[in-house]
Amino acid sequence: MKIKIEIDDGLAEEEIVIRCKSLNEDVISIQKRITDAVNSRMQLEVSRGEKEYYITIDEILFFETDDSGVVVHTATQIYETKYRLYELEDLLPGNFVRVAKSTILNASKVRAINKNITGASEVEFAGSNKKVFVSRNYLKLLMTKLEEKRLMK
Amino acid sequence: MREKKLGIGLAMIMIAINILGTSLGIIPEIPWIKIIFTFCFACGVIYGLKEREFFTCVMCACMLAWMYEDYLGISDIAPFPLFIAGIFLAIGLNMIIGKKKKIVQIHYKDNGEWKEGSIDDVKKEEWTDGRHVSLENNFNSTSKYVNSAAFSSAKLENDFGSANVYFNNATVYNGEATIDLENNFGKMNIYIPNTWRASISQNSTFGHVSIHGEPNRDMDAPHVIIKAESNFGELNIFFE
Repeated sequence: MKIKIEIDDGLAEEEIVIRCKSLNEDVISIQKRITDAVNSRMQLEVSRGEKEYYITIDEILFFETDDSGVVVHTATQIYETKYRLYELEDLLPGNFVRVAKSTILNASKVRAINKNITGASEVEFAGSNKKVFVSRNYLKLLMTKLEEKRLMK
Repeated sequence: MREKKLGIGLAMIMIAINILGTSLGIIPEIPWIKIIFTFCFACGVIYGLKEREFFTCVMCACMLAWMYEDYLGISDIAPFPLFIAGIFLAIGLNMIIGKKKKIVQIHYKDNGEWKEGSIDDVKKEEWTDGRHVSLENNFNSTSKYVNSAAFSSAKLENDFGSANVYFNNATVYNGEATIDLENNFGKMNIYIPNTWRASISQNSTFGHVSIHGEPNRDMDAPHVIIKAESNFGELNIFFE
């Protein structure tokens, strides 16, 4: 497979084109990886108190709804965002997955899952003490996502 | 704590009655496993009456009646007619008397002194400005964010569920606040800013309280008094 970089001063924004003979699994996988890589550099506007912050999507561990709105957790901080969870679901890259009615987490930051047969399972994140609870109904989806990520590595 | 003492006291009395009764031949010898179950159901009856939980109370009474059907002479109606009657009785009592209104006990400061009292003892504006926080979680998974700009007290209870509580965006009112934590048969994670100074007292019965990280040691830092109790569960306090 050839990888080329073409420089064109006339382009309004950078673009990546994958030229292939046919659409097969390898090509889809490459496209997915590129999309995730591009999206992980995307920034999200969040706030804490009166201050506005711009954080990269890749820093985020999870989103959770609270009485006042949606909160955004990084490894050390908690922010708020104006987006609703359903809006974030459309906006975020594929490594973000809904794990409860009130939670979306970043699957690439998951370090461990403490499975609980009777109740909600608990997810631990790399580099943070923070934990979220995964509803039984969403656990299978999360496991599938983690398995996909493992195979892609 | 009072309930625990009451329970242990009742157990002691029942053991004493059993030893004396069987030695004197007044009551027939009862197997220990039956005594343990009797104690549990008797506690259920007392708890149900105290909290006006009629379903718990009546069902525990039915279980006791079933266990001692021969002594009570009710072998003919146990177990099914007994339990069906019990269900209707519980529904009837619930409809007529209803559940007890739960009173949340909180800590509040009155003339510079910490006091314990109900919500009614505290001025309404202190609740609306988020000075006092309470959470009761049963059989559920929940997260609570304390964002109060004048945080004074929190009373958090988790029974058979999972709860995460974040104090990261709270500011302590007048330099001192209290946090009462009770975790029964569940898991609770509490996140407290490590800029706060903390005095922690912990009590656990077949469970554990774990403290992760270090609170601030600066005597001028906001002070938080944490009372942590974990029974048959896991309670984690993170300073970060």
